[in-house]
Amino acid sequence: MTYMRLTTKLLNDNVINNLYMNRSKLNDLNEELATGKKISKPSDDPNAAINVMSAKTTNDQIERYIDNIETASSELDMADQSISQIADVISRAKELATEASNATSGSTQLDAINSEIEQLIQQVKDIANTKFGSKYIFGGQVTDTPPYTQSDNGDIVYNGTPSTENYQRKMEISENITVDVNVAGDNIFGQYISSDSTKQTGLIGTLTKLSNNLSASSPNYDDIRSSLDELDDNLNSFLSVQSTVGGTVSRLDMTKSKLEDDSLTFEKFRTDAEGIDLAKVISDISYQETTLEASLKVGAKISQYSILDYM
Amino acid sequence: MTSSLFGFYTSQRSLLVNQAAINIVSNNITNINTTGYSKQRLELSQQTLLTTDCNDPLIASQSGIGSVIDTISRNRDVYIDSSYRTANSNYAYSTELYDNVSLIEDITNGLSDTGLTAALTEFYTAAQDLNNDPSNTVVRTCFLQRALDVATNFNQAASQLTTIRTNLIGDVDDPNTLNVSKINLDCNDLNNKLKAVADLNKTISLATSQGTAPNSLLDERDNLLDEISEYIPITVTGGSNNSISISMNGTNLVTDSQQVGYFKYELKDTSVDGDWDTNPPVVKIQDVNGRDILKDASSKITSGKIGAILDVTSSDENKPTINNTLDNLNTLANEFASQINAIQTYSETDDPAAGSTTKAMCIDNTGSTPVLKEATENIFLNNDTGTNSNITAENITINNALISDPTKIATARITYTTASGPSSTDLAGTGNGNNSLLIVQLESKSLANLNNLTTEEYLNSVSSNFGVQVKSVESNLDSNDAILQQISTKRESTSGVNLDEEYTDLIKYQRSYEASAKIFDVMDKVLQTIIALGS
Repeated sequence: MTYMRLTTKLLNDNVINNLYMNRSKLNDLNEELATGKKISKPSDDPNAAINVMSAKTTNDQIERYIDNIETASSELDMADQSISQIADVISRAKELATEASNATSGSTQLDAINSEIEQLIQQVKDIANTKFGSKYIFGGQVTDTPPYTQSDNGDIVYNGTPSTENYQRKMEISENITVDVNVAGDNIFGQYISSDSTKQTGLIGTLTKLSNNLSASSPNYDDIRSSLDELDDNLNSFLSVQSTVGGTVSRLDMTKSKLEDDSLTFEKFRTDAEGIDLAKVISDISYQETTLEASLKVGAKISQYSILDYM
Repeated sequence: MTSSLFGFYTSQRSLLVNQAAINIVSNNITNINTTGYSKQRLELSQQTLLTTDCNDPLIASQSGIGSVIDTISRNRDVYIDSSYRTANSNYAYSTELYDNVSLIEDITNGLSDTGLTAALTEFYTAAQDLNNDPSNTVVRTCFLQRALDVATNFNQAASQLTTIRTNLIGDVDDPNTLNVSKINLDCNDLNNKLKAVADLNKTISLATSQGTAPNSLLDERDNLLDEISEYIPITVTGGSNNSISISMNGTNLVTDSQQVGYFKYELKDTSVDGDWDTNPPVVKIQDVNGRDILKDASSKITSGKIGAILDVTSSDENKPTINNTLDNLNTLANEFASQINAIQTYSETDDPAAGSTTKAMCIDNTGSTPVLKEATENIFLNNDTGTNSNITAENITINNALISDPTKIATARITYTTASGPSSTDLAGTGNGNNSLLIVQLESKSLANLNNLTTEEYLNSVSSNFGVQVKSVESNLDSNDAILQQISTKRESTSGVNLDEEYTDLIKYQRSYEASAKIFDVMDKVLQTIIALGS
């Protein structure tokens, strides 16, 4: 067996090196414990790093989709509430129309009914001008100005994007999947322009025509009765819009819960790659502390011994 | 017969020899912590009688006249020295490379919560908000701020990278920076050290030819050689009279007492202005008169600090370099800006005669009600030229026309029959967010110019690919460190001073000295006895 010639400097250097190594290991572990992360830069573990980064990117995206869905849902909920209010308006209008069909011509009763119908028209107009934040929701792509305005001759005009054109406002709720967050106002509420008979549509059309009829010197009772049917049609079209909106909202809810599941999966993926196992790190630390203490003790002993002590 | 006084001289020599030995021990102990010191040993041989007055070969061969110092030699192993220098070159290379690539890694670190990655994510979030509420001025301003953040982050990353490069090798456009660059300073240090070795060679040869052992000079020269090996890989060959020659991968640098190769860091062609592509600065090796021996020594400098600087600033695609990272950032900045600008200023006509036209539209606020108008302003510009061409990470900036008027962001996109032009209802649609939706969707779009990755994926891949390379540099550093440690240990084991050994030697020589003195005493007494006999 051969022995290596150990010089004094070598012994010292070794002691110092070992202490340095043990301390730096302990420091690494402490840092892991303090940050809760195994890796702080890609070179710590390139494979884990790419997982962490892509999971982070995906999760940021998912969070944004969830935010979008929440915004879209609130906007659609608002539309839904507005449309529900219309159902009350229509049932009141039907009561009034029934009363009017039985009232005598030229009576004050008709005037009273008419003024209430006019109130209802204003109410419909106000509902159609509902805002979500700073946006008018029933104006198609025109969101800055009120979609319904009343001109001097009493016509109620729709200024938004017509339902025959691109009125949809889209939000992205998932990668490359968009949802329309609005319904075109003219399709639901209609409008009334006295000079253009093709633009006397929807609830507003029905109510304005009814009101015009009632204020006439000799009201046409057949028209009053047929307006009852029109009101039914109007109600049906509201209900169908409402179910479309409801359908979109529930689709949004489903997408949201799926996204939330995905988010959890990616989050787990990410913590698996970057998070520490607390129990393991803590036990590693106490092990490392023992090692450091041992190397300190041994170091102190080794450098003590010298032949001088025995001469 | 020998003289009566013969023994006196033998023990006198013994006293001198032991005293010299004690001096050497003392010198060894003093230098225990001196870098590069080699433990010295006394080489003794016995002195035989050179001439004898009695012509009796029997006496001459049987009776020595004490010991004599042959030489004081160093504990040194030339083979270990040469391994040490190779290992040292590799270790210095790895350390320098690791230091620099860690700096670069920090700049592109995709795991950090700040920086480019975060800015890009925020930008897409702002685009989403813009799409959700296109006519809202606050949202528009916010979007521009996020776009500005992206540009600033690109600028910062690029300037950090170029600063590192300028510190290492200077900037070719500014000749003064070449002189203060790290590589130039290293070359100057290296030249001084080579010169010092050449000078030492001269002194050592002279001393050796005169029969002395210039141990401290040899140690000093070995120390210099160790230091030189930090800069470049060297091969040392021994010559006559303890003189040595140094060469680097076949190019002679020092031959005996002459420095024959001088390192010079300057433009490849000094007669014209520098340019990174055609006339970059290079490390040359010149003779004493400044004539080129090697026009570009980079292929010979395979390790050492200078080798690492050359590698990290090279354009080698397979190495973790500043230029590659910069190129990647430039590619991303350019593609990102082009994509966004293309969406922002989109305008296309299918068929000029009867077809439809699709245009990106921004908002015109000048009238009583806001309407859409054709968008013409780019979002990102090249800061150097003010145009949208050749945008890089260094020069990417945001169009000031948009900052002063955020309504110029094209959020809407409309399609109309070319002949009849856009309808008034189309133009009234300020809530149209179809164009900003495309910016949102850019986030998940794979782009051909980015190796079919999305912008964020590309950035992540830049970061993680660099991480892989840094990891391999790091493990090389670890193994080179281990090798150097091992060889250092071996060398220290050969050349170092062990105190126990010195103490025991001290005792040994002390006892020897005491014994010699005792012999003096005995001799004296013997003489006195003889003298007493005569009286």
